[in-house]
Amino acid sequence: MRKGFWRTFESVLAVIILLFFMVALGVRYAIPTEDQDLSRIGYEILRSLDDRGELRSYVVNNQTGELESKIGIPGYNHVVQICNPGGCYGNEAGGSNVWVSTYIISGENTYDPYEVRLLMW
Amino acid sequence: MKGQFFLATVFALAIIFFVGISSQISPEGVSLHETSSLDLLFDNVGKEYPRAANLGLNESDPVGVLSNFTEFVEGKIRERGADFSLMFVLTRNESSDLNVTVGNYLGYGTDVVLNVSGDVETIYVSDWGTNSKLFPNPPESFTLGISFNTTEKNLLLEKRKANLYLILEISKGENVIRGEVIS
Repeated sequence: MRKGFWRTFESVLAVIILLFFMVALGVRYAIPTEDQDLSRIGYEILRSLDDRGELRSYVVNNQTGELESKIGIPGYNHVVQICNPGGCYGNEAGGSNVWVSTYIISGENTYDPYEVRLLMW
Repeated sequence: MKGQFFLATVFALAIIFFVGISSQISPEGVSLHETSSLDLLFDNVGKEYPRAANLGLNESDPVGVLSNFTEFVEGKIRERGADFSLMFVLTRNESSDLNVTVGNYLGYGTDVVLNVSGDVETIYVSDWGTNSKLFPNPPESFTLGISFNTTEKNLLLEKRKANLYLILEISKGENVIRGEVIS
């Protein structure tokens, strides 16, 4: 009688632990993404910098750090990558859920096309 | 028999536990959310083409620059799984004459009818190609009619400045954004 009770108790405990574990994993993967389209906000930031004449010189000179310091997004981290036909330069994003905004320019004083990528997480 | 069931259960639980733990501690794949809004791309590209044309004019190669920029833009848009097509018409003053160049990136070659203040010429422009026509001595303020396939456009332009007209389309699935730029 006593032996059977402990066996049953162990089984119930195992099921509880297993359920707890599976529920914890399920919650982690079911966290909804934010409704806010951060990539649109990022585009507006890049366009605003361009309209103020504070984008192109940093881009054509590959000054990703200086460009990053011009951008502030409350509650988010960000990096800037600068891409030309030869490849992309700049830091990698430090998060796993990353929003990307892109902005194409044809150059500053001479024709020199680039794509600016603003990564936010 | 009971002991065998106990061992099998322990073994199964241990596997589930370690698989779960490893998924928690191993680095996750990075999930990138790029905007799917074609209107942002359209806004960006439409605003940038006149600037590219100006840079090309400064370098005395506006057609080469516009063609190269189109290849760059097309590649970037294709990276996002969207399609891009464009036709540009560039007019430039050459002494007292007018040079009209058409760049075709529509995905097929086409005849383009150009009407400069009543002087009508038809040129064939191959896909991903350009073609030019010189119109002798048009008025300072001239009308430019552009006609190809089912598209017709009439513009009133000044001869002494370079003019750029674009028809561009960006599409992804059933989502299509189409428009024109005049500068």
